Amino acid sequence: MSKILPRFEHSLKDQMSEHKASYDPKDWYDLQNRLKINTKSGNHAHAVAIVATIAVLITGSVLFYRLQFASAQANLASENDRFADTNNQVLRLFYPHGDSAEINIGNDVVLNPEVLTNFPLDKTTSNNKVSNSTEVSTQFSADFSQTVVVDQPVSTTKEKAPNSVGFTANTKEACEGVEVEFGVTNGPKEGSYLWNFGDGHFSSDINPKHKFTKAGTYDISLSITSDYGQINTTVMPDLITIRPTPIANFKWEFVNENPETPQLKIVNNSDNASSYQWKFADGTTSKDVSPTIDAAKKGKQLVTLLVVNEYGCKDDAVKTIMVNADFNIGASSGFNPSKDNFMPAGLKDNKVKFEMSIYTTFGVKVYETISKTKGWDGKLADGSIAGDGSQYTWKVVMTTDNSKEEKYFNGIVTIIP
Amino acid sequence: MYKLFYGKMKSVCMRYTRDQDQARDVLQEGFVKVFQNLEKYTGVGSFEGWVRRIMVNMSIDRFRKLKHDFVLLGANQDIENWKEHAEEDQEDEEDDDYIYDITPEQIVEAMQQLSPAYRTVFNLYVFEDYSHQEIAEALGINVGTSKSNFAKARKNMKKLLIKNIKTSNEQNSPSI
Repeated sequence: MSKILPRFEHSLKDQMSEHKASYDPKDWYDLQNRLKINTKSGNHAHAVAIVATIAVLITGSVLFYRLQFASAQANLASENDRFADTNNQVLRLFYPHGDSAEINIGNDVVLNPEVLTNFPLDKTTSNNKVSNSTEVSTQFSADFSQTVVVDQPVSTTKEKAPNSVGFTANTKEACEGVEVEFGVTNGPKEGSYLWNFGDGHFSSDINPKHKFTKAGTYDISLSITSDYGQINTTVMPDLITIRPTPIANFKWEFVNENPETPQLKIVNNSDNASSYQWKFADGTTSKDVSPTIDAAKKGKQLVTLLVVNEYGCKDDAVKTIMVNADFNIGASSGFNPSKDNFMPAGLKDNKVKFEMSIYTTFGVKVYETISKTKGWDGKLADGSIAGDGSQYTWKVVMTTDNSKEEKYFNGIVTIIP
Repeated sequence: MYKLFYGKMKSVCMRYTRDQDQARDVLQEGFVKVFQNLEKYTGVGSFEGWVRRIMVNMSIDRFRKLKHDFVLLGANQDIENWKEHAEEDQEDEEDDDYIYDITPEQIVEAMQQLSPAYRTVFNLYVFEDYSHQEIAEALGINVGTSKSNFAKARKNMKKLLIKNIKTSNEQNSPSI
């Protein structure tokens, strides 16, 4: 019966009509357990036959649900079930203990011919029930109301699909992007393999390798379709755990905290890492998160960063830092004595002890000072002012407060108009 | 087949239960029943409809078993009360008879918040097309109870849906 619902109810019903809850693969195992409990001992064949029957129904819906069909059938056929063709609308199943069931599969059911040809049909004309032996638990026969009897050929070992195919992975835990290798134990030599890695990727190799790109836990399943069309599916829930991989990355900035040497402060912006290992061009290393390095020498500095997280997953980053000029404590290359005097900026702006001397190109000292306020004004020993374009050598010996070590710098300064 | 019908059937079961766990339980028991009774499927009507009926019957059975735990509102009330409810209901029918943009998830969420009695009656009446007479027979309650429960369930559903939609909108809007 159908009634006219008010708009509110109608809208709810409309919304719900095609709704599907998301699939949880664990439920399938749960159901199998429940079925086992409910169909103990004698009923087992019964259950298997039912499962096979369902497989026939599934076959029927193949046009509409081809994909779903494939996976459902793989599951259902896992106990060596067989089913078969019919052109008729009535499917009658005979169970080994004497029961039979009739299923009207209707006109709209189309059986998939590809599947049917995979099943060996024993075309004996018989309407008799197949009351068979002790191996009933994995077999049944179907009579499709007229003449074709499909016999269940599971008793011969040759045709028997592998019952206990196992499979292995070279690891249970891996980092994102690391190849995991799978292998089969006890697998048949013939037949086609289909691996489902649980992340939307599949492989038909026997021993595939697969890279998982996202962290998570994956169910792995292997379906082996025998040459006779039997599908045997083995599922290993939560077989592979993929750990997140850190991402190494850094940038840098020049800092002038140390008057002796310009420095590079490295800014570590790696993600998901728990430990860091730095390697620098001069061979030194550091385990600081964001180390600071000297950058006095002109040229390229290769900086390598290796990061590791708590799962041991690693990533690295290599960058080249370009230092465009040797550090010369900020000395200018030229000055005009009438407007300015010569005092390197690195001495002027910092509290350092130093001695600065100026020499002619012949090595004659023309000036010396230890005060940053007293730069060289261009006066020579004879009182004259150095001429335009002439060049002089400067030397600075510097001692900082915290180290007694002396640092030596030199350069050339040109008198400019 | 399990995978084929799982999503839709779980959706059905979720409407009849309080949470995921209960829904899963009913669903699994339903499927066990489906497998056990497959030979009883006569081919009349769609197979999906048959499976669905089993799920609904499982839900009804479950309700009946647990019935003594619930206070069936209106169980002792007569049809007069129903009339009142019906009238009240008629009033608010005019102003908010349609709620836009509800997702199935929001509907399920609201259904799960209803009391078991309201939930079951509302489900059967709206989604299963049962009449109040049929509901009364199925649940072992009287027709008046079914009607009054339905009216209250309907009101609550509206309130819950509006509330849930509001909260989810608040959650979705950026907090900065």
